[in-house]
Amino acid sequence: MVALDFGEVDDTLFTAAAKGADQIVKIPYDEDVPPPLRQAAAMYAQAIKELQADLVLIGVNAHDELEGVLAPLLALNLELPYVGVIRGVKSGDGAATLQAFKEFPGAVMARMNVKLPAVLGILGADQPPRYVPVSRIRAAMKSTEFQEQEVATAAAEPVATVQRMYHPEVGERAEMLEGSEQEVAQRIVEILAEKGVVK
Amino acid sequence: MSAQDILVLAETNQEALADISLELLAGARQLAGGTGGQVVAVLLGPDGAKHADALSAADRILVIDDLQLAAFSPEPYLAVLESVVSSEGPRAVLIGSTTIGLDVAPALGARLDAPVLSGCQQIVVEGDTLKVTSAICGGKILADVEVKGSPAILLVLPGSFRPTEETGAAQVETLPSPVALKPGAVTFEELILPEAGDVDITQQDVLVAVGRGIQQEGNMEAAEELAHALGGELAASRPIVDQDWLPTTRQVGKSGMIVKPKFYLALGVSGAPEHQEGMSSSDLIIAVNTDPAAPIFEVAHYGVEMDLMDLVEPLTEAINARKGEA
Ligand SMILES: Cc1cc2nc3c(=O)[nH]c(=O)nc-3n(C[C@H](O)[C@H](O)[C@H](O)COP(=O)(O)OP(=O)(O)OC[C@H]3O[C@@H](n4cnc5c(N)ncnc54)[C@H](O)[C@@H]3O)c2cc1C
Repeated sequence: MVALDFGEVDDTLFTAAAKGADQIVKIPYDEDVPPPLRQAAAMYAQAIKELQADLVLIGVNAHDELEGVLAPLLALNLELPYVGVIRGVKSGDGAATLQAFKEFPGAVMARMNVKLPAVLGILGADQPPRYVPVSRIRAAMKSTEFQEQEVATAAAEPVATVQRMYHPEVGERAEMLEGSEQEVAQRIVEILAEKGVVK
Repeated sequence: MSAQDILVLAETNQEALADISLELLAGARQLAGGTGGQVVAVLLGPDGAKHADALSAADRILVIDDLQLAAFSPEPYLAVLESVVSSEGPRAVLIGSTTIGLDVAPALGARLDAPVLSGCQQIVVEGDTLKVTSAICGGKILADVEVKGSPAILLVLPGSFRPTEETGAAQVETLPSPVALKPGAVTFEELILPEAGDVDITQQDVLVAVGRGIQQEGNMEAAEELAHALGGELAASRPIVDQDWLPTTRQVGKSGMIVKPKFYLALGVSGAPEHQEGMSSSDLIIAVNTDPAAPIFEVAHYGVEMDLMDLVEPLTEAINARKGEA
């Protein structure tokens, strides 16, 4: 498990330890704002190269990504092939291959053959996530030691200037229904009757 | 081709032209109006020419005809796009934020040393400046940004533009791949279709969609009762399917189904762009959510700020009572 030391990453790493991660590597990073995406990709790549992994799994698309997507950039920095939006992985025919299941619209999957080493952008697992009890996480907090991997950071320029960040106007279209549960339920039934959804 | 042109990656999905292709063309037409350039659509694959008619909003339609492009695999797609974008030198490249776009756009930007913006919903050109509004954090935050450099590679959220009636010169050019293509380390093997047998939520008039706000599997039954009282079926957001509480055939959204029922009741669904993509065209949308700022209220016609479990039972009763009267 490799992570940039930013924000509340320790919580995630302790959970990973509790779930059985054998080695946890933190990349020291002291700034107040996260690095531009390209810089982050270069930093992760440096740390991951040291590990000589056959398979690198990374989330397909973080919710705060603005300047592109980290996962394919990491692969590019590692000079490894990449495929993302993966929803399941199975071993392949040969030792150095695997099958990755890539999601397409309409609950359709594409079975892709992947020669290793490679990077996969993961959307979800084919099994529900496993939770660990808090007691195990607490135990991990006492017993786990993170390894630190310094990387040389060539600062990258952001590709865009953010002018403004804001919440979208709420309820631009929705008319809010007020009242008790029964009143709201009654009002919904009236709306459905007006629209002919219920007779 | 000029540095004012707007290039669009047209996608197909199981032999059919994907809706996103027409949406991107509409966005590109607006943009080209601002830059004074042309709209160029690029279609990859040996059967591309058969979709060219539908892309008449473009001025030029480049069909890259190569067997290696018959199904999506990242490396051949990237190699062709890199070559086409380099030689065409457009102002911007519009790529859908799809399972294909998410794989190729970021790497294309890096290879061309061009800026990439994700989550794009609005794009305008003012003078020399390209301004983009992007949705991040599941649509809860919007960012207005000015993009530095050209060509700007823009990952556009589905649903951002309505397909246009406008037409361009629609000149079709079928070309061999500009670069020799060979299979990369990632190759397409087969498509796996969802198992038949479950209800087809795209054919339902009424859908009750449950999201993570339902909280426990035990609460699904009450939601299903409500769906059946309404003569409809249960649908879901992705986390519910990830938990195995419903099969993938019930998932609404980007990687699930696109539904347009007469009535869509969203219970505890936040309304992330990937979910909205699948349901925003429903005739009537009512959303129930404890968070008044949930993005689902932007597409809903009516909203209820309430714990969904407090409403499900009274609503089921009210509907059954109404049916009893009728
Ligand atoms: C490539 C890609 C493809 C994706 N495809 C899809 C897709 O096809 N479909 C899809 O749905 N998602 C998809 N997603 C995921 C999407 O980004 C969101 O994560 C997902 O839609 C969130 O689901 P949700 O609204 O159920 O959960 P959350 O975002 O966690 O929202 C839960 C909501 O419930 C509300 N809530 C909590 N408790 C209650 C209560 N008691 N009563 C009422 N409301 C309550 C909360 O206020 C919140 O708004 C995709 C993501 C990616 C990256």
